[in-house]
Amino acid sequence: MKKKILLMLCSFAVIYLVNFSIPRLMPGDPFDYQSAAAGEESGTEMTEELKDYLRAYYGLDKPFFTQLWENVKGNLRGDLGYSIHYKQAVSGLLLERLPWTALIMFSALVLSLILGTALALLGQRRKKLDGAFYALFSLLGELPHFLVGILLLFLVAARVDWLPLSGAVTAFGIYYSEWDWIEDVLLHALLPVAAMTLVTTPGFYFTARASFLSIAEKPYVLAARAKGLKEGRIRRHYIFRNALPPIVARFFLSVGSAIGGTMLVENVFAYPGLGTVMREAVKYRDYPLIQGVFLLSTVLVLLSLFAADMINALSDRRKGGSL
Amino acid sequence: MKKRKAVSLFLIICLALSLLSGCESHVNATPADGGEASPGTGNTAEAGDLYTVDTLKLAGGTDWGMPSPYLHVARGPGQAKMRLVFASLLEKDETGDVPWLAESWSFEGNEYTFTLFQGQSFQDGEPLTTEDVAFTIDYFEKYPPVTNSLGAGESFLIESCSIVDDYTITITVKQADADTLSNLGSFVILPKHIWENIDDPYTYSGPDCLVGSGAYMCTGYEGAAGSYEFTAFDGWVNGKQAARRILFVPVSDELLAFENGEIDIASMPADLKDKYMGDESIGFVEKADDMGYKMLINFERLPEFLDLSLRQGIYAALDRQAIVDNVFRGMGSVGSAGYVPESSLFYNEDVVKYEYDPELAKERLAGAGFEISLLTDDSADGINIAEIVRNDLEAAGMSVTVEAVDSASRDDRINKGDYDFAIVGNGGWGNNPPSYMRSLFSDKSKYLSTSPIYMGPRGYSNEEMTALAEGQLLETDFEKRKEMFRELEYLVSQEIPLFVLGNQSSYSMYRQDYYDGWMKTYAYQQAEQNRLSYMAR
Repeated sequence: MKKKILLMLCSFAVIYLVNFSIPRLMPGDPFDYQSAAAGEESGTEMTEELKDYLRAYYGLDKPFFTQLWENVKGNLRGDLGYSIHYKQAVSGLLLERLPWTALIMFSALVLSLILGTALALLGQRRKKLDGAFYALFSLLGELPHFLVGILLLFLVAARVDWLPLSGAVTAFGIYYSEWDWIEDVLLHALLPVAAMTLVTTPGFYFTARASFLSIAEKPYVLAARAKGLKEGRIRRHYIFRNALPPIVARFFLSVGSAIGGTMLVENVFAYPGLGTVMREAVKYRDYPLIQGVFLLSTVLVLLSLFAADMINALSDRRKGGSL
Repeated sequence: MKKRKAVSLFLIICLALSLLSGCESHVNATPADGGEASPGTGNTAEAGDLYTVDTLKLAGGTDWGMPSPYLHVARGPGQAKMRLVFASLLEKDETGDVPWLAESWSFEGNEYTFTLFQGQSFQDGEPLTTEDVAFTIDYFEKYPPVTNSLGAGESFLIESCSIVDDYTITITVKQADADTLSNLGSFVILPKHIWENIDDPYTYSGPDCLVGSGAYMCTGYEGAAGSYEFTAFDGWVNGKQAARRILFVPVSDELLAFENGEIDIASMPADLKDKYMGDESIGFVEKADDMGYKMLINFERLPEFLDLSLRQGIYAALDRQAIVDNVFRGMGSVGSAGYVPESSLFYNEDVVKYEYDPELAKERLAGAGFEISLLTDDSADGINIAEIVRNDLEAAGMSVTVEAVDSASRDDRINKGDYDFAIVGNGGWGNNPPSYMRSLFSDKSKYLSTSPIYMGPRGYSNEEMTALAEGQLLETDFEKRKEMFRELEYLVSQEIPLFVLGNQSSYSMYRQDYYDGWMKTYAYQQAEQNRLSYMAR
């Protein structure tokens, strides 16, 4: 256990250093891009004098290691810095957007978990269905999230009146109760969650299917059948319960790819999560914001991996292994 | 059993937390009738027949920052939103400068005198006087804002200012030139009673940071969603607003949103030009030749191209009409070798014109064994243009490798001189030409900006060109200045310090039966970003 925690902390330290270094190693400078972005209607033309003034204001004129040390000190105080592009505290920006990303991502993951597992279980009972699911999910699982999002946008949302095309809530909408608002949020989340779920479900389906097939061949399942127990009970109590740990572990292992997928889907539906912020941060070389978004993603992914590790370890212990 | 329950509980908590977090955002969300971003206690004008339309809706979805002089994003849309809330002394219309906060103005030598409209107040009800103008000048010198027409440090434009009375102020500049009036007329006025207490404007986001004196108040701003609400300010004295409210709402696809009636104005895709042009209910604002692509040669690395006959050979090699037809889908022109586009007031029709002549190109370029890299950004248009250029140059006997990188990397490499040939595309070619011609073609000014948009050819020098590019700035007589520009354009077309690959036009389309007040100024073609588009005229 201690070893795992130490390993996680080391991984964090390495990723932190990479997150800090990469933006500064990228070609370009935040103030050159503030001054004029190619391909865009330029709004502001800065003199070198003004750029120097702003570099000093944001502390980017200091040596690399001084910047790193100040960044570490700030982060330890909970200060993620100040966004050069958005001109807001990075922590505030992320906190404002994280809930929307979390809503899409976790809803899609939970739905995929339930759907994938349920369909794999159904496939165990009806082999023809299993074949159809297998073929369908082999195809779906290979599609990129954003492509499914675009297809849903043009093939579904554009053809019906009641589905919103973008955003997380109706802009400047008036709500007469909390339920009205919740209904609006759910309606806006429907397509992004559907796009994510359609692509994420196959992974859960294949994991659950493999797990069920593996458990179904265990001696204790044969013994249960030999005892004459009902098939439903065998599936619920012997197969389903014992097959669950790898499926739940898959949930946490999927967080990393789900973060990436959600960010792309958010851009398709103009959903106000971290996706648009990350895109703009990279485009405009907004160092503090790039670091903030990647720090948050790193923490989420590492914690998820740790959770998956724990589940696997607990499962191993039940089988006679040790933590 | 306990562990399984714990896992189930954890999953439920995850879902619940994410939903609860969403609920928390709702508390902070801006309601329809204003909200937390509402600036002060200013009164909103009553709806009704006072306005041409009740609401104008535009595509939002991108956070352009808080519309405050220190917090907006330094791009056109961010600046335009700030300028709805904060007023400057002057504004521009289709032909020239017009009154905005200043009712009248005059200038002599380095002294510029402005007289404000009487009765104008800030959006919190405090009167706006020349005290505020003088304070803003001092404050901007100390803390340059995001959009800054006054310069910074040693290059600060203003020497001093003197308040004549509550409504009249004389501003003395260090060196007057042709752009001085425009620069003095462009900076926005801050309310002294608010900002005199703010020591760090770059982080100040208190509710009163949005108290301006513009025609519209910012009554709703939600950064995450990129939605903005502006409401007509009834304390505005110079004319009447066209809409009671202006909304910027998030859209996933602008065209889809326009078709569905979610927004009132949208960009028209080139491929759908015939469809929409045939619809009488739809009006258009043309952004003629506004986007332009040029090709730079790094003469420091390739000094052999200082030979004019080789540069003429390159123009002859380029099938620029193919760029217009295939990349711009017919919406645009091959551009002028004198740089200023044909649709501009400053265009010189006598510039040297270079026809596509592959045989001449071969004659000039083949056999020299030129092997060059062609740097471009990784946008679809950038890559497509680069491929056409490569094919043309290879047909003329050169060996060309296209390098496509993201635009920030491309800009960085051009700034450092790490390229042979480079393609740069940017908007704003239809803007007031004087500002960009100087930074492109004057040896003294061309490296002042570190953006390839404004940067001229590296390793190329021309005294006559420099004299014209610098001299026009000091010429305050419009006709004489225009003539200097025409000379400069001719010289540029003759000497070819860089290659104009093409100008792309675009259109904003709107439902003219609903609102047809969209306009472009003589200096700026983005209808959605011009303040006068939102005024009854």
